[in-house]
Amino acid sequence: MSDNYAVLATFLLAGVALAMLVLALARKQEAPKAAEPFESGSPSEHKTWVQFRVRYFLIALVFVAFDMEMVYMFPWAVVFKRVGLVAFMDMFVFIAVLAVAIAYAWKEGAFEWER
Amino acid sequence: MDPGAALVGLFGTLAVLVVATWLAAVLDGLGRALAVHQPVGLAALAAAPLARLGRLVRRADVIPANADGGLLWSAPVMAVAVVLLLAGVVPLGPGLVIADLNIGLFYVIVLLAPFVVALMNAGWGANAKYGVLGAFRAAGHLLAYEVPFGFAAIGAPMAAESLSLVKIVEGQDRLWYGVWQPVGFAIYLVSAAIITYRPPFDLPAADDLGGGVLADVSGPRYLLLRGSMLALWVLVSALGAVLFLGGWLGPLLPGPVWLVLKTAALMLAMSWVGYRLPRLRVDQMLGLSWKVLLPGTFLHIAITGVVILLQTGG
Amino acid sequence: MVEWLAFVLLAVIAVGGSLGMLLTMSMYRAAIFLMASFVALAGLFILLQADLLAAIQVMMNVGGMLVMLLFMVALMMDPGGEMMWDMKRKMGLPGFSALSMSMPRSPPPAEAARPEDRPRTGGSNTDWTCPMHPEVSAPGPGSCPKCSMDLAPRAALQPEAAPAADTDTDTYACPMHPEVQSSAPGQCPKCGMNLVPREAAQEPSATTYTCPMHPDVQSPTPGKCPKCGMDLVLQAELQAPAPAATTYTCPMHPEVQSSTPGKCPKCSMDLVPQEDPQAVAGPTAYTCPMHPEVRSSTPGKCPKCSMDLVPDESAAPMAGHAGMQHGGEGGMHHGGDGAMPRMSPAAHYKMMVDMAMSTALLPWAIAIGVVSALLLSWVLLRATWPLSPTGPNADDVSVVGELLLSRYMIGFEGAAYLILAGVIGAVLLGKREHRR
Repeated sequence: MSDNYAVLATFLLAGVALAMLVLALARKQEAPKAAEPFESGSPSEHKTWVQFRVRYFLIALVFVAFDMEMVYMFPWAVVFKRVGLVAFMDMFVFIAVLAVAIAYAWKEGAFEWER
Repeated sequence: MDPGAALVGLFGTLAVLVVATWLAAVLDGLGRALAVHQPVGLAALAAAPLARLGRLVRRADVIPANADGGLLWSAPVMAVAVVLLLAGVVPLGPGLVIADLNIGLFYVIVLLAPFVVALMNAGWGANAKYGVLGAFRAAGHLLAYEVPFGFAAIGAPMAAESLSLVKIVEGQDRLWYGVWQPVGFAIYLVSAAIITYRPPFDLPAADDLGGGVLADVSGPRYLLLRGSMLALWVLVSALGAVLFLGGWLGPLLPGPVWLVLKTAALMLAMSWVGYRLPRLRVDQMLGLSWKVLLPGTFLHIAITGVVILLQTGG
Repeated sequence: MVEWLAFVLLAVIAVGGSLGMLLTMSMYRAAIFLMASFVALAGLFILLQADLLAAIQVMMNVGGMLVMLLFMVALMMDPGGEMMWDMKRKMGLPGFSALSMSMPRSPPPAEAARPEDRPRTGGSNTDWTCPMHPEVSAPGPGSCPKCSMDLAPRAALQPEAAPAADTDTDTYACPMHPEVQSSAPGQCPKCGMNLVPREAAQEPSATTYTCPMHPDVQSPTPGKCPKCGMDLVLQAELQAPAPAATTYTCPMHPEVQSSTPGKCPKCSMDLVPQEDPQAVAGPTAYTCPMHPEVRSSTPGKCPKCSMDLVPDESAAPMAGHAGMQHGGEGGMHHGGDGAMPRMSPAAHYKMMVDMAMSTALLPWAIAIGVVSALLLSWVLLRATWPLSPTGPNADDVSVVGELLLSRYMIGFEGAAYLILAGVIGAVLLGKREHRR
């Protein structure tokens, strides 16, 4: 197993090195005007990094919960065939509870674009 | 695997990836031409990406004033690294795989998330309006694709009793999973289009933001980012072929050829259908993901479970 | 050997990522650094042959960090750290804080360099410009070289930007080098900081000098701090008023007033001394950050968009404001600028940190953090998850699956209920935030 990961580590290093090489070889732009951020031709005004209320932050919270859920699903899927009905019932309860969670969030408007 | 073989594998993978990226650009153009009923010669389609490559290589690498240089630097590096790491686990044929991981499928799903981060870094690091808005859209993509993608893909390990991609392919020697898990397959394709930023889900780098996260990226940097987006499309499509279309399995032709054919077919279908649809706003995409795809995956898992139970007589 | 090399490399990345997270002023960078740190930890797990755990680690952290990032951008006023970086550059702050940010490459944030901002900071009305091309600048009337329109005085074109107070008669001094004096605005020849107007009240005889780091060090003359050797700086706030007359106010909520130092009841920021209470209670005009035409003599809500009104700084010019250049009418505006220039750099810095870190939801965030930390440590203490390399090849996915379906089944269903609880909590929190 560690053999596989050693090869993949080589791939990782190679990818980083390749990208860095391409960036290092790139011709750099000297003209200061070219460095103005593109805003469809109008001069850039005001700061960009400002407080910004993303409208989907409720979905983001629900997402974290379901992200966690996926962790459980994969080990379960692998042994599902072997364990059989017990595993199915187990997952049925699991999914039923999650479906309740989804239904609740849906009903409360968590999936709507907030105002 | 000894170091020599690993190096051969590395350079082989790189070469395959470069060709595959070119092919992806061609298929992208072909799908667009088909969708808009625009007659375009195949030669012109094949030459267009190369011409673009030539232009991008010669163009200067412009870094916007006030940019966060570190983040801008990290974006292409991360993107290329993720693409290479993913390419290392896709089985091309029997025995033709760099690393057959015990957790292969989970590994792929996990590695898709850093790609989103790479795009977000490109957008945020530019410190420019369009890029930052594109970065927020890219974050919305993460929330939309990951859960349906993982749940749709879970039908395969349920049937194959393993997360190893090689074992998943071998488990389909009698019937492809895509045939009896059509719901999962469809949901997989939609969420694959979201994660690979294919139309109609191409908002983070869309024209309405002047290129979104790529608006202030130019030259070789653009080439790396756009190229790895295309390569990611190839890899996720190849994974779709592995999970649902039997990977390298097929009569007569050698295994890798079958995988390439299936992958290309999936990509052409995604491109053709995608260009026929109007772009989905981020809220519409999130609604689709959580109100349609996610309940659909619950259904998919339940059906798959029942079928497997009936089959094994448990 | 290779394993050791990989171990050292990953450990360095993990520790370096955490350090980077602590030191950076950019919220975005902090999240990315933390992500890098956790991914390096995942690499360590792989070295321990626990690849499933490593994959879980990467997935949860990348997803979780991205969500955290969205929240930081939604809650923080300066998610990119630009404002703080700029302030630090101007103050020349020493030590670790100087290391913490090096990001924007070109010196000024965009606003400071723009010619249209000049009247606001410089106070000069002799600049003539084209109504169509604000970048055109001429010392007198004429026609625009770009469109041949007649030039007009810039101040006439931008009445709202014209300075309310005539600062021409003031003298200007460097906040760091009081010996540098000038009759016109400009940069300090010693440190390049913008000169700030000095008020008539700052008579040299009444001036006190103090160390930016050690406020207890005081001296009637400039010199070095006996504790840290730094140059002493002018401290204006200690001059004229008797201590009894000092009121304290919140930099963000000017309506909060107190006779003693402490925390703001609304946002828990440290209260700052306010030299002249009448300046706020009396002539200050309040205006809406979005609708500058809305004006009121008392704090309250904007009749158009019901945002909280903020003190209008153009009506109440404050000494040293020119040096701050908060810039950005588009959302970065807030009251409280008035209190800043009178603080020592250290206090100022602390306040800026407060400003970036503080939200009204802070108590909630702390409570949630404490509860989840307790839960997590409980889970960690209880876990008999056999993932250590000493166990039977226990990280095998199927082994984990079988454990989940036998001994740890309660964990399985429990996780579902936890997720349900989490979703309900998230929705409730979201609705609460929505109402606010």
